[in-house]
Order: sequence, then structure tokens, then C-alpha cells
Amino acid sequence: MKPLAADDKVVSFRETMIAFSHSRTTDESMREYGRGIAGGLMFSIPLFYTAEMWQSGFILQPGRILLFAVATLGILLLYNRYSGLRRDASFAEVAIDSVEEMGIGLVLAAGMLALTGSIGLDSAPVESLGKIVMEAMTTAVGVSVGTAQLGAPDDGDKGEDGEEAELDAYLPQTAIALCGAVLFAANIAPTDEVPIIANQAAPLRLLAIAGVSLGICALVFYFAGFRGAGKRVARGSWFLALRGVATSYAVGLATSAAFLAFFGRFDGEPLFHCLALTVVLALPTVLGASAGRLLLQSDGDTSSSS
Amino acid sequence: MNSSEQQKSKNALEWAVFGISLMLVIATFGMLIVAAINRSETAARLTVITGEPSFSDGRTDIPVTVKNVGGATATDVEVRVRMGAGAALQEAGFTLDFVPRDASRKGTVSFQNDLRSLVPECRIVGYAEP
Repeated sequence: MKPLAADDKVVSFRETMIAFSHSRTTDESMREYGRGIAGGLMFSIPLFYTAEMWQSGFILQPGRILLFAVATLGILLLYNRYSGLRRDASFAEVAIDSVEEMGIGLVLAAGMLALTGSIGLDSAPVESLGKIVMEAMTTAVGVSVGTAQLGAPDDGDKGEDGEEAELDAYLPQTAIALCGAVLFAANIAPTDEVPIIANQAAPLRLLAIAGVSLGICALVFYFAGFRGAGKRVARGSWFLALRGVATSYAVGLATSAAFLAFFGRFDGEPLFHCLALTVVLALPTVLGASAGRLLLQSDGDTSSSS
Repeated sequence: MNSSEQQKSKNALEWAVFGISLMLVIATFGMLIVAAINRSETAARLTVITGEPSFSDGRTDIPVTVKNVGGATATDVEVRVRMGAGAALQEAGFTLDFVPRDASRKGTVSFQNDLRSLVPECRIVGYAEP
């Protein structure tokens, strides 16, 4: 037997340690990175034009920004595990993809902030770091979504037979709903408009906002014939319908509360005002948890809901 | 595992992107951890320095640099510069939206006459917490 060359040993070691679900040519990889960059910019571009977002990069303490980065890494792992493109990937492969997406997000954010003049050579290092990380996290989620969803139908991994039912199950769908909610909440939570609307809202108006939020979920899942709703939304009984709507709204509320707490909107505020802020932000966020959830895994299902 | 599965791997470009990304992510997390550990519990502490005045068309322009050496960001920072004393006292100023911790911001005050014989007296009137 011919002895292995040094390069062969390295490749053999990688293949033994990490089972990859795909193999691409350099051209295919470049196209995928291109989709990722386009997706990253598409989902995060409003944030580069939102003063409150980059201001939060120097107002928030570094420990809080670190927590945001860790939470985003968790979201990327969840999305890459459960999204349509990485169904047959091992945890190591999912982790590698998530780190790549975070790296691309950091580079894109730094580039966009420099291009728009929000950071420069005369900026303090801590200020620049905070701004870049705050913008990069949503950009990284956008890179992940763009990579998975913006390609041609035959341009990605298909997944293994038999995993379909598991991935359409309650918890994986809830995880993707969380990813959709995060993408929507990230764009609106830092703005001053949320507290302005909450300050003006009487309890009856808040109740109306909550009702409309629940109505949006029901509309998307059961009436509007959204692509993917027939396959991804559990149906067949009132219990399943109620569970679907309630879970999406709960995800929207929890995501909204987490973002508001992170941006310091709850600091020193009375409980009712915190509730009002959460209900106000949950209206757009629940759109991410329902319609966003279906769009984030649009892999060709075109069946209509009943 | 069949032979086609054994061949599945990342190509050189993908490994390079992963390697650079890993370094960026580790560096970012590392810098945030260091910044969090070294975080000062103090409030904003603002220092103000005037630069070299310029004189043109009978007007005096004085550049001012405000630096925050405290542990928190200051907002709505009001800067005032006085020239002269008594009845001849003149005052000018500006407001800065934000002065982040460890950062500096620059502005300029203008007086509508030539004041090259006077020494500017600069101070921070106040600021708010974000």
C-alpha cells in the first residue's frame, strides 16, 4: 500500500472528524457567499440607516453587547440546524457555517459603517467595536437566511429522507419562528418610535394591538394560502390551530421582551409600561414569527391552506 | 459510508473563509470580554480643551475638543466658551448629541469680533445620561 502524503493525512483527518453533507466547487462556493452577502445586506440595511442602532453600540455596556453576540450565535446554530438547506448536516458542520456567517456579518457591518461614515480612523476603538458588533449580528442572521433561501432550488443540500416529518414538528418550527421574530424585532426594537407608541397607548388600544397580532397569525397560517403553510403549519383540529397561533404570539412576545430588555427599554420602568412596550413591539415581531417563519423555509411547497 | 460520501468536504476557499471568520469571531468576543472586565462603574467624566483660534474677517473661531474619560456615555453635552470679563464678557457654545466613553468629539465656537488679545475660558455646563 502506498503511504499517505502529508496533504492526504490532513484531508483524511478532517473527513474523520467532521462529516460534511455537501461538496462544492469554488465557483459554487463563491455564488453561495454572494447570496449570503446579498441576504445579509437585505435584512440589515435598515439598521445601517437607524441612528438608535449604532448609538446603542456605545451606550450599552460591553458585557451586554457580548451577551447579544452569544445569543446571536445561538440563533444562527438553531436556524442552520432547522432551516431547509442544512437538514442532513452534523453539529460540527452547522457550527462551522454559523462561525462563517458571523465572520461575514462582521466584515459586512464594518464595511457598511465605514462607507456611511459611522466609524472612521478617528473613532475610539470601543465605540467602533460596539457599533460593528451591534450591526453585525442581524447582518449575520441575514447572511444565513440569504445563503439558505436566495439560491436556485437545485443549488443546495436536500436533506435526508425521513427527516422531513421531524423538521416539520412543533419544536423545530418554533425554533424557526424564533429566527423570523428576531429578524423583525432587530429592525424595530432600537427605534424611539416603540416607546412613543407605547406611551400614547391606553389599555384598550393595547388590547386591540394584541388582538390584531393574533389575527395576523391566524390570517397567515390558515386563511391567506401562504407558500409553505399547507406543509409547515399543523392543522386538522381547533386545538392545533389555537396552539399554532398562541405559540407564534408567545414567541413574538418573548422575543420582543428580550430585545427591549437588551436595549435597556425596561430599565427603571413600571411593570405596565414594560408590558405596553412588549405588546407594541410584538405586533411586527409576530409577523416574523408567522409569515417570516414560512418564508425562511420556502423550499418549493406551494400547497394552499384550507 | 460509500465513496461519494467520503469525498464530501469543504474546498480551500471555504476553509479559508472559515479560518478568517473564526479569527474575527474569537477576536471580537475576546475584545468584548476584555472591555467588559475593564469596565469602569464611574459616570461620564468630561474634559474640554480649546485649540488654536483662527481670525478672519474680524471674526474669531475657536476649535473645542471634548473627551469623555469616564465609564459611561454622556448625551446632550452643553459646551460654553467665555471670552473677556465684566461688561465686555462674551459667551458662545454648542451642544453635542453624544460623547461615548473613551471617545472625543469636536466643535467650534465663533465670536463676531477679533478677540486675539483674550484667553478663552471653556467649560461643560451639563450633560444627560442616555
